[in-house]
Amino acid sequence: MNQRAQNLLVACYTQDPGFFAVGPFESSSGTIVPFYFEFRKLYSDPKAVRRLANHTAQAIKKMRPQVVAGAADAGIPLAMAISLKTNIPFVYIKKQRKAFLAKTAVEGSFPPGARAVLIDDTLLYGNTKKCLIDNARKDGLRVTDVLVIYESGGRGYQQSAARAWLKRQRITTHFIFRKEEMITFLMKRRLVPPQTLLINDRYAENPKTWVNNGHYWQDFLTWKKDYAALRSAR
Amino acid sequence: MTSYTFNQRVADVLLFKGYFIAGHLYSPRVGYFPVYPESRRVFSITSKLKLVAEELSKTIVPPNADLVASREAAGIPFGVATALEAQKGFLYLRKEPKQYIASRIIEGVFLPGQRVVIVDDAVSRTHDKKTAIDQLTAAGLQVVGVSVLLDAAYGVTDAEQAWLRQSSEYQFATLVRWDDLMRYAAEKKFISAALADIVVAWIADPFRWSEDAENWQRFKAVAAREPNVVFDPSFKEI
Repeated sequence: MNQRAQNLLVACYTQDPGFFAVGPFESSSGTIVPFYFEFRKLYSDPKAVRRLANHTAQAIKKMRPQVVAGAADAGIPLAMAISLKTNIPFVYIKKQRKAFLAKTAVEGSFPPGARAVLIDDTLLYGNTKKCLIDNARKDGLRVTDVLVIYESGGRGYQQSAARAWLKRQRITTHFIFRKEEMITFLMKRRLVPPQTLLINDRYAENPKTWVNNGHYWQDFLTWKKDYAALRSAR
Repeated sequence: MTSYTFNQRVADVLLFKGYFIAGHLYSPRVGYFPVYPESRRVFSITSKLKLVAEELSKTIVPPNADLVASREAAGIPFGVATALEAQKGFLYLRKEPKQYIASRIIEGVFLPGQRVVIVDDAVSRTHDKKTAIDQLTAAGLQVVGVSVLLDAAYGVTDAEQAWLRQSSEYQFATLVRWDDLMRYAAEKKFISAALADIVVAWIADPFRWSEDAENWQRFKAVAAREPNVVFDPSFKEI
């Protein structure tokens, strides 16, 4: 994480307390999440959206995409801001094809076979990305790169079937932040308790079963209290 | 309060090949469209999108609004571009609440009492705008306006649409009305006057127009000769 990314993260963190969301939450894949970074909150701040877009513009241009494709819905605001910044045309891709009118999954226009970078807020198992990329391909849009605000380096995610599929398709993934780096950085700044990375690692190692370990769960509850104390002390 | 004057600057950017799609396109609310205005294609042409966002942002009268809100999914690109242009915060509304992480309809950060303008690609019979206003109001926000690019203008004089179109509560702004746009497109020789007349007649009463098979046949003959219209596969079914 370079200096610019660090500054960006601190700005995100200090601007909005809801940005670091403390669980437990149930995720779409049925796992129990101890905490996560809520980058979607930033979309409510035009300066933060611009900052993210400016930060990624150079990297995007190097990918030489013909379109910037937002993942509906959470990727659309950033993709749009990047498109406005770089003047690369914008489209968005939906998980579900429209049932009526023109029955497309990609909304917008693009030359057939165009190369696209897919933009989303997070990359975890990669199932959503696979679904969107497949949908796009059927509509004649070729996703060559994926750029997300943050991804997790946890083994449970990195070794998923969908991540392996992305590699086989030679789709390059890019991210602004890696979850573990953000946590380490926030720990150094004493913005989160010292056990935060451990709690995350136990989750990321085995997202589906970590809650069944009583010891892990107790540690999580203790961590949660520590975090609340830290927060109220500031 | 309604504000509408045909925005020629916006109309000019909409007259590009690909905006008007001819076919036999089904929509659950309006039945079959002979011509569909594909506003989503506008956001893939950055220069056009920027102009539309600029014009939409002018309808957000400062300092009267704090936030822009849009409904998923087609409204979001226009809403984001407008919010960035107007330097306002942005929220989006899901059609269905997300069932996990945190179940909610509204995505974004806001404070109770903040004033919101809804930005969308189009308005038709106003039902979905009512839903959005109810959701935002239930969350403690105050909706002060509704701004859209294209007013499809079906049954604009219907009493059921008066709550928005003749509202004293909301600033209702549209950049172009579809029927005006068709007439303008004919005047600019972008489409034929015959096609403009057909679409204007359809807009006036989509269901009744569609019932008459002769209307469809005449439309097919006229549309087939249009150089600036693109054809959906369903055009062959007519």
